[in-house]
Amino acid sequence: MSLAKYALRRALVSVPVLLGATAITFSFVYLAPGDPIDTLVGFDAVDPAVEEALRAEHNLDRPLWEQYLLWLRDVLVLEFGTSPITGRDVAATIAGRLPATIALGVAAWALSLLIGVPAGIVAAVNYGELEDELSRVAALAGIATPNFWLGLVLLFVFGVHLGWVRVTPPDAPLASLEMLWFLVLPTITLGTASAALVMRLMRSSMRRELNEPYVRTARAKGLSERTVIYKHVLRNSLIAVVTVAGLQVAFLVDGAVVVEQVFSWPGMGRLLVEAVGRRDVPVVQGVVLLIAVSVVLANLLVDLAYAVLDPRIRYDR
Amino acid sequence: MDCREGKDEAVDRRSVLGGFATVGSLGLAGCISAEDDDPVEAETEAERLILRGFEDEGVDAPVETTIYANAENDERSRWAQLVQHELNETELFDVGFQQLEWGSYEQLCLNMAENEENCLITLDISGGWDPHSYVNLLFHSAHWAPNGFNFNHFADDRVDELIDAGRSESDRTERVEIYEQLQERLLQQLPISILRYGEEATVYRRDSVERWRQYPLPGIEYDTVYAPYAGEYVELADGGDAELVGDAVATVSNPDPIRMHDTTSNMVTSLIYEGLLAVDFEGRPQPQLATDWEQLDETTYRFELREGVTFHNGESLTADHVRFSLERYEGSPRANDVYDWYEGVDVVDDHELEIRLVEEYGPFETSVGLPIVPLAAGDDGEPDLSERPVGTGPYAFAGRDEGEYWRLNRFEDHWFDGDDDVPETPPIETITLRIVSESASRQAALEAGELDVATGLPAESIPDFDEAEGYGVERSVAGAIDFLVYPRYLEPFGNVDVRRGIDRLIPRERIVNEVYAGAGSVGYTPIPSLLAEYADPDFEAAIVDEYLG
Repeated sequence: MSLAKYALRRALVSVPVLLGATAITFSFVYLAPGDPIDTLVGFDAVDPAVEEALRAEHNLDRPLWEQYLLWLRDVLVLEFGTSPITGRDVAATIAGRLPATIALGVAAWALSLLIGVPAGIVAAVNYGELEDELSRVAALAGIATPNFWLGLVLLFVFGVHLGWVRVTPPDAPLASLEMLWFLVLPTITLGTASAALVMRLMRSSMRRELNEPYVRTARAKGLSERTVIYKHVLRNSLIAVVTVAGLQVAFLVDGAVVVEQVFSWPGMGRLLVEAVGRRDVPVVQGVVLLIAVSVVLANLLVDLAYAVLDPRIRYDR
Repeated sequence: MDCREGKDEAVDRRSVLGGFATVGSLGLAGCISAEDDDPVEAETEAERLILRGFEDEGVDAPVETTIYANAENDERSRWAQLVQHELNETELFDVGFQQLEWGSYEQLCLNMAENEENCLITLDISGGWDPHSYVNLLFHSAHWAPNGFNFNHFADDRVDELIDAGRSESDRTERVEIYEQLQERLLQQLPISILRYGEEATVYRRDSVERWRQYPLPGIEYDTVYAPYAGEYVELADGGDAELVGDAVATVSNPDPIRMHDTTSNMVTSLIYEGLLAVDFEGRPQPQLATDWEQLDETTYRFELREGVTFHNGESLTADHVRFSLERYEGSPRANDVYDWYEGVDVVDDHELEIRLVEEYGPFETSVGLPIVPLAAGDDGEPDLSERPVGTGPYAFAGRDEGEYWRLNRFEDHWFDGDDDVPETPPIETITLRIVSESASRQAALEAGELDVATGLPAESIPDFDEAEGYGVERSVAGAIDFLVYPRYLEPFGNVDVRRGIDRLIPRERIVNEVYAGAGSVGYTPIPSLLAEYADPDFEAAIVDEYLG
């Protein structure tokens, strides 16, 4: 089977995943007390007929499964509807937040790899020595630090006291130097825990490879340590890291919810939190679908990357 | 009638009572237990009252219950824990403490009576400029939750009678009398305990803003920028780029008046929309789009409209706009704002109209100031007020980025010609409200100079700004009251002695001083001191002394 065929098959397999993710979210939002009309009406003793009419307007009077199917039908033609709360187009609302989310996510993801991979290599190569111990402490601190706290500390130190960066996003386009500079702190906040995780994984994966017989063989053949590590060991160690790097997409979305709050970043994390609070179902569904799609895509890319890293992995079974 | 009475009395039920939430879990309330055999000796009057109540109800100490707060509100959680501590100290109660995410908490509160939950709940409410907006939703038996704030389904004929009388009486003196009787009756019955009157505070940077004045009710904070109706305006200190940067604590949910349900949407549109009347900083109705008004009979009011008023979309204000704007509410989520009192509008001519009420309505003058919107908002086309709010106010909508900012520009054709107090042209050209949902980040942004004004700072940071140079702190007694709700449908909380005993144990001074860093004041009665006309301190002291000791 060709790679293209494999990708297609994977895409088809992901359909049930997306259905499952959105159906579960849909049920959860409804299991939570309250609905969008409660949000709009609040505690008012509004005429029940008015409330019923409002519910009917948004199909909220139908059974849950029917509401889900109606939503699904619209989504298949890329129609995400209008938010009953804001009265705005859901697709436009999400699209408005997408660039900021991607910018922060990609930056944090890149940071986690740029720091995690080299640091992991250094730790593995210097196993049991000072570098290794330092990396262990750093990783522990990185994973244990709540990103909410880290963000606020960075904000007060570098934003308020030193004045090096802004506290709120500048009034500038996303693709500008000002904005890139502002992104530094949120990126560090969001990427730290991931970098620590990648580092630990890289280290252990590389340790394992370093003990493999082929490494001894390579060394016995008189290859330089550099060649052994970068040409042979690194490539094989990366498989585990690539797997996790793919999964990190989901972790980053999770962390973004908090980091966006602290840095007033107009991304989808804040949108999701607000939409859940307002029981704004169409927006919640749209965001969840997008997250699910990106996680599925990331996993697909991970699988494809295996073949590149290790030619023994083939996709014809 | 509800607790949000139009533009000038706008109150958000949801965000005033709490905030949005992320996590939380529903804890099961405990059960009343009467297993402990050790008799507890009463040492104080509070304990004596509680024990007497227990005896009458045939209940033994300790009584188990749980006090709840929502996780987003730190202060509320802290005072709930102080109350928990005081009750447990008596050994008459075994009180647990639970935090819930706002959505779950809201549902617990709304359904506590229905589900007979054994819980004490902690909340605050911010009513409007009229006492009716507090007492009606909290105590009238027609407003049993979830159709109001009468959470523990309190029902008292005398209370209902007095609330109805206050609602349908437009004579001030009569109303003062009615609300005195009502407050006395409520303290005697004590379905809930009031413990604090809130305070609103805004902090501004002196290097960018000359002065600021705090509006006492939430949602109108930025009116002080330019409020001819109240003789207020703000000047920038540097006189430089004429931009004021303020904060908004959440994204703007919906700026259309008939779908507006949150304080932020109200706040960011209060300079865009104007109403017939506006309520000034002391609570007096003042002419805004009306130049004059009179009550013709019990149910009819005549309004003279201001001439030469232009909407931001170019329309000229006529009486038809008023009728259209009020009738737009029909069938909308905010229908009660109007249809609690509205019967119809008779257009006399372009600039004169009569509003007919379904019955005499006491709070009319503080309720009628709803946003007047252009007729074009009725068409399917432009403007869609959910997207682009259009009014007659001194500032026009100039753009938004949903998660980032909301911007207003000075409206050059505003009708006001200037007077001794307020200049013809607002000195501030552009207002940018940055959406910063984390309160610590708002504080950081103010300190870093990215905000000129912050309305939503954490209470405990305010005293620091008081002392810091370069900042001005502007405060006002607010319309908010904090209260504790008893599960009076359950023994022994149905017993008034038990409730009075608990009331005496509430550490009100500590709550004000320690939890709120001195912001606000100790309160006992359901009409806050803000409503000076209705809140006679001597009378209140007398009834508090009589019923609460």
